[in-house]
Amino acid sequence: MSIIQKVTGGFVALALVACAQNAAAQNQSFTVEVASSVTLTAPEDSTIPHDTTDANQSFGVSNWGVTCNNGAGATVDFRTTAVFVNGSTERDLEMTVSVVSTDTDAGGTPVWSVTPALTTYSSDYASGDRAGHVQATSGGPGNATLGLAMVFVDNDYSLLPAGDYTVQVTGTITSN
Amino acid sequence: MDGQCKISQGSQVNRVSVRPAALCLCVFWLWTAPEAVGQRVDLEPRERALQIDYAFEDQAQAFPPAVWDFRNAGFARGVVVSWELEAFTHTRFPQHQADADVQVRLIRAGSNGRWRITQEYDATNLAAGRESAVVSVASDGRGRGAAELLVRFVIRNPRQVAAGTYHATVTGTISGQ
Repeated sequence: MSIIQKVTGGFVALALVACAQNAAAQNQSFTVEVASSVTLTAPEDSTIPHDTTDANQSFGVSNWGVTCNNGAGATVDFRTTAVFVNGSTERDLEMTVSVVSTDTDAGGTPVWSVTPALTTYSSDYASGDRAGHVQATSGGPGNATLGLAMVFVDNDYSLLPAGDYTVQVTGTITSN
Repeated sequence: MDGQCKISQGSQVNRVSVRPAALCLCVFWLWTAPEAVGQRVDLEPRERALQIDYAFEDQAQAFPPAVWDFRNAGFARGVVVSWELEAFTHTRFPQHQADADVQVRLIRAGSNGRWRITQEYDATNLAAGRESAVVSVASDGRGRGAAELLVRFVIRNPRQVAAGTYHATVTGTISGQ
């Protein structure tokens, strides 16, 4: 190799070194931890007087408060394990869940909705059907107020023994 | 032997043809030499990772200042230091993202180099498809400097921030002018 070629090669090598040092880069990470908040708040107990007619007796809609920030949403289940009971006397119930209010996602779609196949449950104690449930679910983070409408089912007041008829509903929220 | 001598002569002719290239490289070298000799630039965050817990009350929650040190030991005409910040992304549910904003403040400008802020504030805007934000400082000579980045976690609705871990990365780059 000639001197000129060696010198030329040296220049090229130095030029490449110079180019390789023209910039530098580094990274730094930022992390946010968001705590989980998945809650269901029951309303006050509800009592109504019978209006002495043969019609079913409605308790109206009770509002249940829901908070949920799980990324995949949550499911709220309202369950009864017995019908209305007054001592040894039973009467059927009908309960229906609805979405009273709900947050919307970034696209404006309501976060919470009622599970179509589990909107209403009607007991039939005469056939042994005393337990059932209704359900609402969400697909992402968002709060809601769910309404639970309870109905005391009876069509003959003259045959209804006096006393208090009571049923308990248990609501459960589970992250999806 | 004569033929080989001719070939050797031919190679000498080739040497002559190399000279213009060598001269060009010499010119290039002389032109870049003031920058290239002893050229060094670097930057470094004082902390590799910062973490906060989301407090739910605020719509924008700030991290502690993130300090970066940088040095230009080579470029006589100065350097540019820029930081690119991504939007926050949920580590388990990547469809859940949060905007970020960043402000840069010079905390050490040095006596040399005359550091100055060239882009003080920027923010992502996921709703508009803007997923990164850039701030920058620059110098017009050699010298050391330090800046702090004020990064915030910005959300649309505090009630709808998915639980879990959100992550964003800042990439700092220093380059000669």
